[in-house]
Amino acid sequence: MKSFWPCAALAVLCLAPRARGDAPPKPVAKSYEVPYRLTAVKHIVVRAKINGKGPFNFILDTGAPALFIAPDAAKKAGVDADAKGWGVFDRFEIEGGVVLKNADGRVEKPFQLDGMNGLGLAGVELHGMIGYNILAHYRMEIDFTKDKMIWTPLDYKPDEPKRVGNGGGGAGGLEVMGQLMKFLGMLSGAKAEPDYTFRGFFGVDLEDKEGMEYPVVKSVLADGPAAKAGLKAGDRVTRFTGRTVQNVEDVRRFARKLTGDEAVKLTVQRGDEKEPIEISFKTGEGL
Amino acid sequence: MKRLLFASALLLACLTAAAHAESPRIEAPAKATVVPFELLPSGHMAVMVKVNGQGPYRLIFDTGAPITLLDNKVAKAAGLLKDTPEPLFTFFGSKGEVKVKELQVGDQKVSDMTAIVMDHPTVEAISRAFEKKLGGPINGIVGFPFFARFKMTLDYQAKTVTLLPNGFKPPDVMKAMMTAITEASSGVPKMLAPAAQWGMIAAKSAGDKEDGITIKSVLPDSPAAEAGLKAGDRLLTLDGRWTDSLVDLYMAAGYAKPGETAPVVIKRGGKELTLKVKPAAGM
Repeated sequence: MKSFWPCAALAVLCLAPRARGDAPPKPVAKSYEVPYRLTAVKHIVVRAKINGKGPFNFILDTGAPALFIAPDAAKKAGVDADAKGWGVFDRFEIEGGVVLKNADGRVEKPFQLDGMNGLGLAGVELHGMIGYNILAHYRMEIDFTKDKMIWTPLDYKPDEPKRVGNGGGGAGGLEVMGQLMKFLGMLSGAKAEPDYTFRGFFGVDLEDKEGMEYPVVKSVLADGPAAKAGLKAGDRVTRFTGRTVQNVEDVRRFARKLTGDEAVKLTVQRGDEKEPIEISFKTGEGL
Repeated sequence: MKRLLFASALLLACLTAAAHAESPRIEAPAKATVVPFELLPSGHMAVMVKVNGQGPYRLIFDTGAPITLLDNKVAKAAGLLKDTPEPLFTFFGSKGEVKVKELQVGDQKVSDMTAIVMDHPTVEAISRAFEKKLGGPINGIVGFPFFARFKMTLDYQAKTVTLLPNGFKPPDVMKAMMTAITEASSGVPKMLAPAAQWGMIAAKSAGDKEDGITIKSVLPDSPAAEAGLKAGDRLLTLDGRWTDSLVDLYMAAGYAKPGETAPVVIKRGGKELTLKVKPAAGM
């Protein structure tokens, strides 16, 4: 499996490229901010909608000679491959506003994707890779200290990528690793796309204050769940869902364990009052 | 049986992954370096790389590679295998993980960086195909542990990679992979939390396949209200990210920091509008 790693997204075209020549986007001076996710295993993943369907998740991959898209995703987008395995995507829109018309792509699933989806390695279901034939149309600034890339269209028409290999697997036997990972993933019960829950909405801002042993309510949002339950600015939160808290980070940590529509119980001290006050509310489903 | 199989796969993956805790240093000028690349006929980009002062060697620059890879020839010449015992079994000549004292691309050097030694069949196939034309072989892949430390600008027209140190400290990929595998099979749902308070509630019904998500209510005097958001608005993007589902919405809100203005695109009465929201600190 370690040996499998390096190639996680290095792919080779194994079939003759199609004889199409169109697809470059019209060059414009505008730059785009393209959001991305850096996955657990350090792939840059961008989202794209194809013919309005999706979004689908793609690895940004200079190690791939072309756009690769899994057959089931292509089918959802209503695109059929030709006899040589190429499909034409009328409208390929990358999150952030980059739109390609008549983009060419390989309709096939590189074995690496099966493996990564099988083991749930990316934390998101991967549908393909965006490679050279698309990327070469842009100047791309990638900086992991920022949460978006900058793409600027170039007035440049890349050559068709040449095939490498002799029409066989091309990966020289590494394909088996993808199948192995998929198989192990099935055994372990891993999912490509995790289930999500949302932390409920409180409508409260807490702060740590010098000399205070508990976090203090800085403000409550009017009509928010906490305000409706009677929480007030200045209240000191001593317990959160039954557990003692000493600072805002404690509250955040326990809040991460809430399942979404749970009742939240706070114990607070208000002003000089001796008796603690119990406040409970059901978290809202908002932000 | 299941556990055994799974464990052996993990073992295979972490044979030598342990025991490297110190983080690599960059010894690089703080200014940007423009590095030319060769565009291979296959569409790959190749850069010249020095390994422990040896070379330069031709490596593929691969944004899809989580690791940096060197073949046995380079590993030997650069003295990377001195402390590595010959393994009993190798897979494509894999010698596992090694420490590279210094990897240099253009003027930019990264010290004490992890790489994997292996004769990768795909790299070999590409090398064989273009060796004559290039006047030399291709010996590996420049991956994440190197390029993550830079703001990189890739330009296929100018055929250059521009590297500017950005202070980013790449996490250990092997460790991250182990955590990801454990989490993916744990069955525990992942909790999403907004990074700030917006003061709005959104919902999408199961049969609703249209773009965006509908805002059900906006709290008075909240950041969302101040920006002009209203119940009934269809939220299309938040801070440049699509909001086609609740998961999307919470993901996007997870990136938008308190106190920083984030654009939101909404559809109201058939028209698209962009509003600016400054979400507040809190939860």
